[in-house]
Amino acid sequence: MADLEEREGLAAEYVLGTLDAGERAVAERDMARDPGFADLVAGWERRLSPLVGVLLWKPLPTAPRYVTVFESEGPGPAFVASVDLAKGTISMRPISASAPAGKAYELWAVGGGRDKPQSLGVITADFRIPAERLGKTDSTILGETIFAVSLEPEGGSPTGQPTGPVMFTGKLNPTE
Amino acid sequence: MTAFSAAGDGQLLPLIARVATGDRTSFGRLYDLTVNRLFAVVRAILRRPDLAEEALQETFVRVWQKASLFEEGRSPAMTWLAAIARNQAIDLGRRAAERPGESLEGKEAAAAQTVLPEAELALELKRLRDCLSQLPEDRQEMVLLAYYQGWSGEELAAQFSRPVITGKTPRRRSLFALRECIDG
Repeated sequence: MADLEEREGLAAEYVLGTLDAGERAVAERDMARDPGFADLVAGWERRLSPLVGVLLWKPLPTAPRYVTVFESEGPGPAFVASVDLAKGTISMRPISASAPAGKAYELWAVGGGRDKPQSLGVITADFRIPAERLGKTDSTILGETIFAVSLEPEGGSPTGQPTGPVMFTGKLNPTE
Repeated sequence: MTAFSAAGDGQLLPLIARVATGDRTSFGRLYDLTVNRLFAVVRAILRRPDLAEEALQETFVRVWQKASLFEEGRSPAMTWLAAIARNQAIDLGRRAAERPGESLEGKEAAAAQTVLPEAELALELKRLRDCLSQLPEDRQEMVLLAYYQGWSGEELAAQFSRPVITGKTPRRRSLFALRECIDG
């Protein structure tokens, strides 16, 4: 109890954002296992949250962005992908879980004028590739392209074409 | 009611509730409705676009994982989402700063953003601003730089080079004074 003020101060600084990486990790661990501390943090989120409104009002970056959520039937991992033509990147993040041991998820572009599925690479935790890999990236072609994720041997398909089952598919939608 | 109605609770609450049950279609819709606003939040803290993009995706991973923990009524949904985005951005910024050559990037240009707008202030923001204005000016600036730019205690100390403001004890004293005022 003597360190109540210390805990309150730590909660305040966590929300304010002044802690270093190590202190933040400690605070996050404490939040997960100490409801009392989590309440302190929530109190500071509430006090300071009006400030975030200022950020939410700010003019938006205008880069054209295309996003998709990869869906599947039933439970299992899905992905969020985004294509940013202004920056010329495609990036992708698994939302949950990862490929079974010894297997890998590989991303393909299908349709949009392609004769065969085109490999965009094996999906890693911080998957990011140049958008030129897609070839022409005008909005019509992007809209007609289907993105598919197949389950492949570790390291990706040995043949350059999908060999395993297609687990997920998605199409890109422009945001605003 | 808060005035930042990028997307309101009316739209967001049902989506979050469905995301909590593992509904990916609702997740996609939630993503579409909020991605640009949340990108603005992470972009304010992370100037490097690649890091901002990474934080944004990490934000949605967290939203997917934590949707079932969202407590309706505690804060507006957009505030909850923005807090997740801020935390991801700060975490990522801290980790990136520990990689050599990536620290303190763009910090000089940042101070311009620390003035709160007069117009369109929501009631809570007005109250918070009134409370902030009771702090000495340099301490107000410290709070805003930390909140909006994600400056660490160390970075604040380097910028201000005045331990009387930026040390842990005075920083917490400022925060506690703020709490007294806000909680009334």
